[in-house]
Amino acid sequence: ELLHSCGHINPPSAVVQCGSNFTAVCVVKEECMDFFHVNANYIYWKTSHFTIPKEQYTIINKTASSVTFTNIGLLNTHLTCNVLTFGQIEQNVYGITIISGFPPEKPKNLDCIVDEGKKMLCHWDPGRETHLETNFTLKSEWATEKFADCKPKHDAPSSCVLDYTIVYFVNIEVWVEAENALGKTKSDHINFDPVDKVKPSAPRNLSVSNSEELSSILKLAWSNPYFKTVARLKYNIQYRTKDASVWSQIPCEDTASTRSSFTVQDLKPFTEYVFRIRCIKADGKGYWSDWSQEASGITYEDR
Amino acid sequence: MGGCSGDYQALLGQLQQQMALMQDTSTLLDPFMRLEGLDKLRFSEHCTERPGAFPSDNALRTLGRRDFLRMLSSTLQRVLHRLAVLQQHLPETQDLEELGVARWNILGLKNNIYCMSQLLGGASELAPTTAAPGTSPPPTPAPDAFQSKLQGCRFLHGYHRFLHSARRVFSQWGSSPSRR
Amino acid sequence: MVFQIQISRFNSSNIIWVGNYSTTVKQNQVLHWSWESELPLECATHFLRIRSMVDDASFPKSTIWSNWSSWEKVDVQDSLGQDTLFVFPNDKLVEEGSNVTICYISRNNQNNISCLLEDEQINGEQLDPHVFAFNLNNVPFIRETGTNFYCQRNKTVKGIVLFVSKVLEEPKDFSCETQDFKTLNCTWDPGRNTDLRKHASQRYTLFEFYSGEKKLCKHKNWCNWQITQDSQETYNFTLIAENDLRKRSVSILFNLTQRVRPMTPFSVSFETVSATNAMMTWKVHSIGNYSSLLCNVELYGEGRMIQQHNVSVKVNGEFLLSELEPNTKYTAQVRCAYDKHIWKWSEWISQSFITLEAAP
Repeated sequence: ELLHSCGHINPPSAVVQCGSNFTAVCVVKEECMDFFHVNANYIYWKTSHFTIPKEQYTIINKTASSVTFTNIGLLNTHLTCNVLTFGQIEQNVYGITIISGFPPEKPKNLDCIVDEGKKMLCHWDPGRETHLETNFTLKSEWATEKFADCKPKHDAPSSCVLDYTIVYFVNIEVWVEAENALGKTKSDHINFDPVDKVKPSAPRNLSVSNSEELSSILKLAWSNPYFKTVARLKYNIQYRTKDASVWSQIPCEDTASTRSSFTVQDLKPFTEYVFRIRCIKADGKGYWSDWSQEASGITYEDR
Repeated sequence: MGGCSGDYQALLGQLQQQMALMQDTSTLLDPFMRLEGLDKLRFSEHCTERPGAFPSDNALRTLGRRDFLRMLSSTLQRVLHRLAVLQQHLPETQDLEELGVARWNILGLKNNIYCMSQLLGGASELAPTTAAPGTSPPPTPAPDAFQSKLQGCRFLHGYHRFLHSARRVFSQWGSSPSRR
Repeated sequence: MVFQIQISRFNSSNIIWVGNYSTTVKQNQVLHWSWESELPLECATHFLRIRSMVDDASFPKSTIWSNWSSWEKVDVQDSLGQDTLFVFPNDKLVEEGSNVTICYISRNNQNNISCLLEDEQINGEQLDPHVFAFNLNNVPFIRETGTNFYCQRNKTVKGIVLFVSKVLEEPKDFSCETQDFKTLNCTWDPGRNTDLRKHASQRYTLFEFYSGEKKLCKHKNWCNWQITQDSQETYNFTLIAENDLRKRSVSILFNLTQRVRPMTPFSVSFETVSATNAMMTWKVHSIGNYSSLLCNVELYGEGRMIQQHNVSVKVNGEFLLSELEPNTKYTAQVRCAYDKHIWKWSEWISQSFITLEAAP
């Protein structure tokens, strides 16, 4: 018990940037020194795994010794100050934790996506691994409203789901702030209308019907996602014969406006075709929806 | 705070698209009527806007742009209060989700109105305190549940009509932010 | 004394109700008596008069009625305000299946008034030149925001909301159990939800007969009750369910030691696993001193139960699983019950292990 309070180390704990230098000073109380008939020369330093060479020590005075590390590597260890008392018994005087790492880099590639019917999720590139506990906070605001900070979940540290109702046609400003023991930084602000970040739900109930009059056509019909009431849509319609593996696509200019049916022409008579469709905002902003469920149909026999 | 868009055309387009969505009775009046059991053909004739509850079509058209924006903002602020009262009258177990969405949309609309006022150079006095000119004070609290339902559907009828009228005014705004 | 009361409606000659009320009377005492009218009182002027008779065996000769009092007029229509059309009763709460009488009062001519229940026009009975009554029988629950009844004349519309609540059910499957002799967890099935707008939902109260203690429960289907050190071993609980219209109750009587359901065992592990044996150990939550548990161990191999054992445990359980196949994956599971009286077993906890390969 006497030795435990026999001294201390400055700094009491340390978070150090990788590649930098670091010095710790151990000061042992005079009465301890006298009791054990030792002085600063008897002080030696250890990390969790080994004793540090004497070359890195500096005797400051009778009761104080320092140790210096240069160009520190990745560390998460204990640094202890010890003395060898009479009878060569190793007595620990004090210990600190040293962690090394990096300050957070400026988060990059911040972007957001509104899965239709769900909340908005924003994600970013956090930059290099800091090896330290680094907190990210997603900030968002309108010109007239400041919204609650969004804290990422542990299992997804570089994305966050905004917890409030997303309002289309109102520009929102979003940015990310990153902070750890070695520093604080923030991403560029992005300012956008959430309506331009939507990934619509996939078109549903795709159905295919043939025409007795024309054996080279098949008529497609589908239900559009609710997003159609908010913004105009455009589509990709792809088809292939039943046994083919490569999809053909209807020219984009033919499917560039909101619709819920389409007639595919120039097909081979009496042949089974498989179709799928997806949609996106007509001006191309946002994300393509997932593909609809596939649907198939057979063209009519040739007369 | 977040920056307003300095693009007059884009902001005007956003305002018009917002109002196009919000004027649709399926966003609030219809679900309210269903919840209250008023979605009956014969009852709809009684669910008419109370005169003076909202600025008339004509009142909106005759205002200058900044007065129009100020009127819009303060009327919407009053709507927010009224929707909060409506929410309190709903049974605990039933939440009118559309009411919450409408509240957010109104806040978004007020945000864009603020930005348009900034763009036209006059946002400061948009503080939503004074009742909008040309509108009577809110009706006295309903004495019973039926009157409360009736007042609610008349108010929401007026709300959608007001948005429709305001959208038409915006659609007559020219392509440049010159003040009138 | 016996009091006879007569009630008339619209005019004093139109008597609609007669009844007697007997009570003992003290000098200068003010008596109270109430009567519920099926027709809302706002719908008509009512008249009431009373007479009395001594009903005392010691005065047989005085069994003659007194004179009638003068007619007392009860009229609320003066206080109704300036409107020309009224509908009553406002915001009435009734149970599903009840009969309800609604009326409208029109202060001017009658002919062009139509009344609708929800969306269906219904016809009423004229009670007086200005009053129509509508008898609704066996009213159903339609929605939490009430049933709408309204009358319209040109642009004027007046109406009421009838709050029809489902009938409160008697709680089912009411039972209590303890895991640790410190807390009793009582659960029940509340049945139908009788919530309505502005009308408090059903409330549940636990009442314990022997201690006389009572607790208003926060939840509709469960409630905890603290077992104090010195509390009794036998409990007589009454669960009282009530809403604004009805009260129901159900009771149970039990001995605490017969309602013990231990917590799930934990820290299952296997030590000294060999090619043919494995020592299984587990821990149990203590349930009071000097108590032991009976634990049920089941061993599964290739999806089949191959062994079953019962073990008595106080704090740490252990059992040697033997006659096993080398290099084979097994799953063992354990659950426990209170050995003095098995009320319910705890949940199972299971753990897999693989026996070693046989020595060459």
